[in-house]
This record gives sequence, C-alpha cells and structure tokens, in this order.
Amino acid sequence: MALTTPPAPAGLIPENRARIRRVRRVDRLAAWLITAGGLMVIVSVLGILILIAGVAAPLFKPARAERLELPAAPAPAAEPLAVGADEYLENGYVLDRRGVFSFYGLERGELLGEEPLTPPTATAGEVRQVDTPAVNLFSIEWEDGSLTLARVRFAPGYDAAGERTIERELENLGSMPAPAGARPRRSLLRGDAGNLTRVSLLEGNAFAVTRQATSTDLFGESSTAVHEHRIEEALPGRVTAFTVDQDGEMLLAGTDTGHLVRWELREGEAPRRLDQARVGEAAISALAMVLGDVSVAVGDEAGGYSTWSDIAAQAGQPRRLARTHTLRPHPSAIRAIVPSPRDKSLLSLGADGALHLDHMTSERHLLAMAATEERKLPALNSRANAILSWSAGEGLSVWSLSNPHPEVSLKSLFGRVWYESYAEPDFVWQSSGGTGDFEPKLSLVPLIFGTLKGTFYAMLLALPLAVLGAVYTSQFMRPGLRRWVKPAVEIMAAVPSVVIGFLAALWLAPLVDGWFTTLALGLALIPTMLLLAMLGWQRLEEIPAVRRHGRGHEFLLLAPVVGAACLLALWAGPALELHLMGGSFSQWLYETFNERYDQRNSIIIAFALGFAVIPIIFTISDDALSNVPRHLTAASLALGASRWQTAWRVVLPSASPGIFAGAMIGFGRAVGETMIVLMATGNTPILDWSPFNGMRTLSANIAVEIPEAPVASTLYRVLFLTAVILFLMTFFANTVAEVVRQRLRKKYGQL
Amino acid sequence: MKMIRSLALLALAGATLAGTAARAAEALQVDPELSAYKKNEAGVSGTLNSIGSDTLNELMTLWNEDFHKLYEGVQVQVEGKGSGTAPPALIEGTAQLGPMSRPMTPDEIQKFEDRHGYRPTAIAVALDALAVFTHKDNPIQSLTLPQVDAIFSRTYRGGLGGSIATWGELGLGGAWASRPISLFGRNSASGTYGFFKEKALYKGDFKETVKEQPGSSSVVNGVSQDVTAIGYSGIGYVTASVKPLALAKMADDEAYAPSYENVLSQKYPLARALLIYVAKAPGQRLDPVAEEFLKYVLSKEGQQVVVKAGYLPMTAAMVKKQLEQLN
Repeated sequence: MALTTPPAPAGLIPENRARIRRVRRVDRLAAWLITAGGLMVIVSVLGILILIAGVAAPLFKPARAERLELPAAPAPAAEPLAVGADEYLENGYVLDRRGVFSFYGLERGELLGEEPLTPPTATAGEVRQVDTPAVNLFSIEWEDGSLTLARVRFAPGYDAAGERTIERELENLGSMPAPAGARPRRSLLRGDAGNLTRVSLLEGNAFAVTRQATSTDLFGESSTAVHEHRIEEALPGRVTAFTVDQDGEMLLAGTDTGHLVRWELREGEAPRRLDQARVGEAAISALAMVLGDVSVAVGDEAGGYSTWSDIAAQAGQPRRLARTHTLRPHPSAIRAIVPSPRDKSLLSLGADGALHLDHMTSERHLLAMAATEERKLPALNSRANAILSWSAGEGLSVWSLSNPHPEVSLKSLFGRVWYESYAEPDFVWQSSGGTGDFEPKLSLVPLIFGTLKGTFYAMLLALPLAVLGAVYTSQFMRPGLRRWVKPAVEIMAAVPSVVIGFLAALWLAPLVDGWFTTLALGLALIPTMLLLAMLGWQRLEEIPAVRRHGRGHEFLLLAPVVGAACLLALWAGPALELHLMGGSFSQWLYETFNERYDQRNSIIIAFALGFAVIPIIFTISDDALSNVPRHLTAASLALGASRWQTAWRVVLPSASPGIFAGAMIGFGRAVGETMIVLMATGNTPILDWSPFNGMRTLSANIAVEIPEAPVASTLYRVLFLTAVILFLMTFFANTVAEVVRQRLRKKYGQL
Repeated sequence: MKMIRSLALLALAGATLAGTAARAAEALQVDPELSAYKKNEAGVSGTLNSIGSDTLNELMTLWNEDFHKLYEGVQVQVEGKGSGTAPPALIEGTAQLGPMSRPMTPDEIQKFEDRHGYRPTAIAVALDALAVFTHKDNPIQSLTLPQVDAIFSRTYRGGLGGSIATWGELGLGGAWASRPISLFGRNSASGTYGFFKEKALYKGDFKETVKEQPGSSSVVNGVSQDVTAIGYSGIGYVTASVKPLALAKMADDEAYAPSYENVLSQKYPLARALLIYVAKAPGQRLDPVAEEFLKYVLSKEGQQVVVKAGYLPMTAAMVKKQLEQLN
C-alpha cells in the first residue's frame, strides 16, 4: 500500500508528532481493513464457485463395482442356467437344469430354500434353454420344446418390530406347448397370462410365431384364440441370434452375414417384415432390447458392439432401423448383452469372460471387469445396483454397483446425440419424462444458445439507446435538464425484474402480437423521420435567435416528430397488414417464409430485458463521458472544433474505457437475468436465431427445473453444472471488460 | 300442496345452483354408497404442507377450505408447481402430502426409500380425463391418438410417420387449411406432461416448439387467446373459452368425449387417477392430521368437492381400496 507519509521533519512540536503517529496508525489500519475486505470478496466468490462445481463434479465419476465376498459358495445340484438377486442384495438365486430356483442368503451364503418350477407337460424333461427378457423374468424352454414364462418376485414387507423382511415368490405367468413339427433350435415366450407370444427359430432358417390371446366376455366365459404364422422368406444369411420385445410385438434376428432383420408381429395378422440393415462383416452373436423396447443392442463375433433404433424417417417414408450409437468393442466375441432395468446402460459379456458396462446415450464406457476365467450368465438386479455372473471355478459372483450418472458425458452435454426415435443426431434439452424408461436429453447447447440469443437481442436494443442517450445528456443537454433526466433513467433500474417480466408477458406480448406491423413500421419510421427533422433543424439553426434558444433543447422539438411517426405507424400499420399481408401478419409470415410467429418471442425479450439493462449502461456511460477532463474539451473547442467533432473525436475516445465497462456489465446482467426471460419467453429450448420465437436461457432453466430435481440426482447436478457455466460466462465477460478497460485507459490516459 | 310447491322451488333452486356451479356436472353425482365423513370427536390440530401437482392445486385448496371449517386448528399450506416437485419434497420431509397426477417413477421411489427406509404410499383421490382442447371457435370435433402424437411429438411413434403442422392436414378446409397449429403444453415438472408424453406421444418426445407453461391455467389461457392453438390439461381446468375434443385410441376407432362414463368404462384413452403420496412408515399410523385429511377427501363430502372442481369422483369400491391402505 502506498500510504507511507514522508518522515516528520525534525523540530516539530511534540503534539504534532503524536498526531502524525496517530494518522499513520489509522492509515495502516484502514489499509489492512480494505485489503482484508477485498480478500474476503475474492475468497467468497471462489468459495461459491468451488461449492457449485463440487456439486456438479460427481457427474463425471466412473461407475464403481465392489465384489461381495460370499463365505460359502452356493452349489446347486445341477448345471446353473440363470442367476439373480433382489434389490437389497440380501437374497440371491440360481436356476438350474432341473428347473429349480435355489435361493441363497448373500450375507452368509447359506441355502434359504428351493422352489421347483412346474413343467407344463408331463414329458417336459429338464430345462433346455433360458432367456431373460427382463430382470427376474425368465422364458424357460424345456427339453420337449414346451415353454414356461416365470417371474421371481421379491416383495419387501415389514414385521411387527418394523424390521424389513423380503418375501420370495415364484410366479408362473403362463406356458405354451411345443410348436408342431421337429424341435426348434430355440423358442422364446413373451407376454403375460392373457396374451402370450411364442417365437421359435426352426431348423430350416424359418420362424414360427404363435399368438395366444385369452379374452373374457360379458358373462365371464373366457375363450382362447390361437393364431399361428410362419416366416419362411429368404433371409440374408443364417440366423445366429434373435430376440423379441416385452410385448411380443417386434421380432429382431441377426444373421451370420452381419445383417439385422426386423418384423412386426401384430395380433391376428401375419408377421410383416419391416426392414433390414447391415451391422458389419462378422456374424451377430448377441441381441438385446434396451430398456423401453425402442432400441436394440447388437454384439458380433468380432466384438463389435452397437445400438440400433427405430427412427422416424421423413414424412411418407417407412420407419427404419439406424445405427444410433457405437459402443466400445470387446477384444473377443460378445456372448451376451443384459440391458439395465433402470436406465439405458448395457452389461455385456465377452467370450474371454470380460464384463463391460456401457451407456447407450452417452456412449460412456463405464466399467470393465477383466476376465479372470470363463464366466457365463451375466445378470443385473432390479435396481441395477448389482452385477452377477457365474463361473465354474468361483460359482456365483456378486458385485455391488454404483453407477449414479451414466447418462452424462462431455459429448452428451455439448455434442450432437442421436436419441432413440429421432430422425438424426441433434442438440436437445428435455430433461425428464415421468416414466422410468425415459431417455434424458441433457444437451446444454440450446440453453447456452438461448442465453446468448436473449442477450444479443436485448443488447441490440439497449446498447445504442443507452450510449447515444448518454452522449447526448452529457455533452449536449443543458445541465438543468440533465439534473432531471439522469435520475429519471436511473429510476428505471429500480423496477423489480419480476414486474417487468409480468408486464412483458401479460400486457406487452399480446399487444405486440396484435400490432406487430405497426410496431415494425414505427421502428423504421421514427429514425427516418428524426433524421429528416434534424436536416430541417440545421436549416433553422442558421437563424441566430433559434440557435440561441434551441441549444440543449433540441429534443423538445423532436418529441412531436416522434409522436407524428407513431401516429403515422398506427394509421399505416393495420392498412398495410390488411392489403399486403391478407389481414394477418403471423399467417403471412408462415406462408411466405415458413416462419412461425410466437406470441412470446425475442422482440418482447429485447424490450423487456433492454428496459432492465438500459439504466446500467446509461449511468456508467454518462459518468464516464462527464468525467472527461474539462481542459481536453476546452482545448478542442478553442482550436476551432465543433461540438460534435469534440464529442466524437475527443470525448468519446477518452471515455471509451468507461463505456465499454458499462456495456460489459450490462451484458453480464442480461446473461444472468432470470425472472424476465422466465415469464416472457415460452421457455422453448430451440436453436433458431429468428426474432419471432422464444428461447430457454440457462438461468430460467435452473429456476424452472430445480424444484423437480431430487437432491443428488443427475438432473440436480447438471443444473449445478449450468450454474457453473453461467458463472464462467459472466466471469469471462467481466474479465474481458476489465482487461480491455485497462488497455483503453493506458492508450487514452495520456491525452 | 304448499309442501309440493316448496319442494319444486327447492328443486329448481338446486338445478340452477348446479347449473352455475358445475360445468360438466349436469348428471354427475357422487356414488350414493360413499359414506359421509365422521368427524374425529377428539379433534385434531396442526399444520400440513402439501407440495406437488398443479392439476390438483384447485382441489387441494377447496378441500383445505372445507377441512378448515371442520377443524379450526388445522392449516394446510398448498403449493402446486408440478408433480415432479412432490417426490423431492417428500424425500426431504418438507411436505406431508405429495399430490401427483402421475405415478412416481422407480427412480423417485428408490430415492424415497434410500432416505426413509420404506416405500411411499399412493392414495388415489379423484379421477381425471386429461383433455386435449382447442380454441372454442375451432371447427374440429375429434382426433385420434396417432394424430395427437403427430401434432405434439417429434418422434411420431404413434404410426403416422410424419409431423402435422397445419389444421388443413387434420381435414379442416377454408381459412383453416393453411393455419399453422400453435402448441401449448406444460413444463417438465408437471405430471400431466409426463402422462401425456407416455400415453399420447407413446413415450416419445415433445416438439421443441411446444410453449411450456408453468401451470394448467396458463395453458388454457394461452389456447383461449390464440385461435390456432391446441393444448392439454386436466379436465378441471377446462373453461367455456376452450373446446375439449373427443379422442379415439386408434385411427379406425370411435372417438369418445372426456365424460365420466367414458372414463369409468376406460373408453376415453387419456383417463387417469389423481394421487396423493404420503410417507407412511410400515406398521405405524400416519400423522393424525394427514390421516383425517385423507379420510375426509375419500368421504362423500370430499368427493362432492371433486365434482365441484370439475374433476371426476371415485366410486365407493375404489375408495374402499384406498382406505385400506391407510390402516
């Protein structure tokens, strides 16, 4: 601190010396206080940044899996065919070849009980193959080709002491006999008690599809209708894998030539082949429907791994399958894919025994568990907080899984993502859907774009008005008037933004909607007529009397010109709309330019947000312009420069650092403004510069969505991430403002 | 004679009252088998906080008024910003009642259970027909769900395969043929948004041009001010300035109006139950104020309020099932 006072000259009287000491002491104290205060500000701002960044940081943490040690390895009496566990990781189970579910305690590994399945026929024999359409749901094919659909249910209950208990139940959802003819290569069963669909892959590369629908009539009599169809068309290669969605309405088959073929199965109709796609060179070895039954995950013999979605093509064209995501390949063939029941994550098992966890939307490779030995039967539990598998050496292995934010990656936040059913990759913000199988769309690009769009239109209106207004009041207006005008503009800043937003949404928006042509005409007419009036004024100024009294009062003369322009626009606007636009501007806009006119649009935002920003820019600019040293203007005027030349060449450059700082502070205010944009825009997250539609800004988005975001959920953390971005944006704007201001000051400071 | 005349007068007065008070309630009567509310003689007092659905907002407020008349010492504070706000409030314990117009997602249930150690209890309190409506001057009468999907969604999972952008594409002629459809909807916190997305968009996504409104009344307001608009909300918010449309499940099906009969027979495709979620620990009774409130809501009086608010009352059989959950 440069607060050192020169040493007191010798010979001063003692009272003075004491006083100087006291002054020095106070100075030092003040210096410390100011330094401490400044440091406090920096520390607390940094603290806020660290706090919000800390909440957002776990988004990018990888998934973690921790192996549960089972003291006694479960050992079922026959070869295991499927494994599973409850959501609390208390009970595990193994389905073996005998058709018996053995339940084990995962704490100690003890056998809790055995539940045998009842085979549908007497000749069923042992279990031949098992398919798991969903967690804890099994389509079981017996040796004679008959099928059983069974579900393991874990119902949490509470005993008298309030302790949680888990009831196990084996539920038989339905069964169907073997299809006629030779035993198929593999059969799958889907549906529920009333409606069952059996799809069998036959030896001759054909499918047999059987639907069994049970309906109950008004008198309680139930009747069963069975429809059987065969798919015997030519296929591109031999079928090596196939799957059917949960409702039994879609059949997907992969072939040894790397083709994916799709059929639609509708009740009472023959299967309809929808399309086929080429996945790759290698034979397809694993297929699984991703949660929601819209996408299918495909793995092949070479380890290639991708997801395909049914997409909405252009109007008039049929829907088709498209490769929406490519996931990290396995080093060896993919043997099985297990979709997560909670999100779009996928667990996959390679031929080498390695387990991978990937997320479809974000394409994040979340977890890889190296192969220790030959594993099989990968599974997840119903909460997707455990991974299970079986190996000959280790028996049942269970890992507890923590995978809180798999859907977030830098690409899903800032890049184009191809979402399920979308025609093409896109930037989309649609954060929640009210159902569990919803695919969150968390692109921040539309929000950042919306913030910049709103700010741009607001600054477009506010910057020229505020700066030119400040130039006029500080340089040309009579000081007496200036004493009134400046506080009046500053009072604008005192209007709460919620009031501005309210007025903009409920009063201005419908008004502009009805009178848009008038407004547009007015915006064009006012400057033109002002210009004309000023040209006329110059003529008038040649008269000395006018000149003497007119100085500093010019704007009083311009007021009627503005009024006249407004009246002209009011008169001509509706006439123009009626005769040139067929009576409706928005209709005309849509028909001529295919551009929608939304009532809550960027023009409304420009006025409302501009209104909030103008006083800030005006005040700072006015101060900067008024503080240009008198001797500069005096010198300029004395050398014969006109007032305009002085203002333009001398005052404006010297004040430019201040004006720039004002503009940047106004920019920061517009970026962070919440209430006005929240109320006066439609909050539509679109990427469109058109002034006739709205936007969704970062700040409004936080206000809209934070109440619905459970603490520590993905949406909650992403909203904090947007807060960090908002912080960085304003920080960046202010830093640039400060740097440029310093530069300009150095440049013009020597004047 | 005198008695007959006064009876007739009474009936007349009743008819006029019903005609002015209830919009679609000409023939709507609550199930006569519903039992009347028995006041808890011991009395209850305290404060209840309710955070959640905007669709249920008006109902909660009306119930609160009547409940306050029964028990002077009870105050219910109602905040309705959207169903999505109910789970966080119940999880954090800032509310005892969480009205929702859609069921909780598995994720929300899990977050609740992580905090409380047990699952939330859902009590159905009223029925609703989610209405799709246009401006009252719009000549259109009915839509199919695949058409609704093509109007509102960008994924077209309903099977029409492309977007519907003008009224002409829905078969309207004349000046309507080239008018673009202006879309109004709710924000994502809304359960109505989630329910509509699941049933009418076949779990697809909304177009980004849907103007997201913070409440159902602003949707109705927006549609009533814009002749080219279409929007959706719970039936209770529908006013005379908008026209609810009949809806058909599939392209060839018959369209059904959002009436009580069509909701009970499940012919109207967007029928749903309105729920109040509570945190009821297993084996324990609910907080006495909350329990009395729910008992009142599920009584004859409570269901008459449902009719008054323009929603659809529950049948005695449904109510019995809900009451069992409380005990």
